[in-house]
Amino acid sequence: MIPNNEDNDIRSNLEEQFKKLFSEDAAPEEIKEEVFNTIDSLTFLGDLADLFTAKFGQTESELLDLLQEPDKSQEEE
Amino acid sequence: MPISKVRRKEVDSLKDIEIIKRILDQGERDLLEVIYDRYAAKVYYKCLGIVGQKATAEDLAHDVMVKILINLSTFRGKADFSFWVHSITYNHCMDHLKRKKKFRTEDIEISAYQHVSTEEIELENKILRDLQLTQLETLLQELRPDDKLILMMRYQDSMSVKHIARTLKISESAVKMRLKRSRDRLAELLKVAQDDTK
Repeated sequence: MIPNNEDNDIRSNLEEQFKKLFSEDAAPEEIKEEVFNTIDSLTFLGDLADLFTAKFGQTESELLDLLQEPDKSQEEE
Repeated sequence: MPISKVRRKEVDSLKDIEIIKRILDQGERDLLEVIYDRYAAKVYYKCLGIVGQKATAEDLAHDVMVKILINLSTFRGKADFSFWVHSITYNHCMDHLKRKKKFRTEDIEISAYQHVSTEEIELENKILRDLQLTQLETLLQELRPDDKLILMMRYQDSMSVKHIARTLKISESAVKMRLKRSRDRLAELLKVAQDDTK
């Protein structure tokens, strides 16, 4: 049998004390800047990668359409 | 560019899931900051509570927050968003502890608990029932990281044994054993601290 002495009083006291831990504090401000810098870099790299993958074909064909029929794109606008 | 006060006020009352939908469906990328502000402190202090070192906790929190924000599309919305955030945080911390060989993966011998006397169990239970916040803050620095991780999952985030098992990729009986062992260590440390002050 697996030992389990977690009675309700123990559990409720442990929950009460653990939930109070760090409850009022804020995270260091410098993490935020680094997180958003990383996301910007990843987004940039993702956009760059798109040029060489599926989206590149789509972008290229849209560009070609525009070059071949410039009037049509203006009409659509 | 940081989100404006007016914009923040506009979305302040929205639930996490509503904000996530606006980010994903309408491309309102500035709302990522709102999600960040709601969870960064919880993630950072959870990491700090587990690893105990500020610099490491900052690195871990950075990685967790990036992981959360760039993977919002994989959140299915079945459970509460905070549960999803906690699971990613614990998983990331556990991977870190495994890399540092501070997360034990060996099975725990059940027989080791069969020789504990009833008096000892009663004493441990009393200690845990009377545990105070200041004592917990001190003892956390002495507990092993994997003990802290599982105790925080259970008591800070009220995660079920099933959910802990799924997050840590171990069996439910292993979770119960680990919880028992971690509570025992906590009680043991508190007993030593109390004996020292007598």
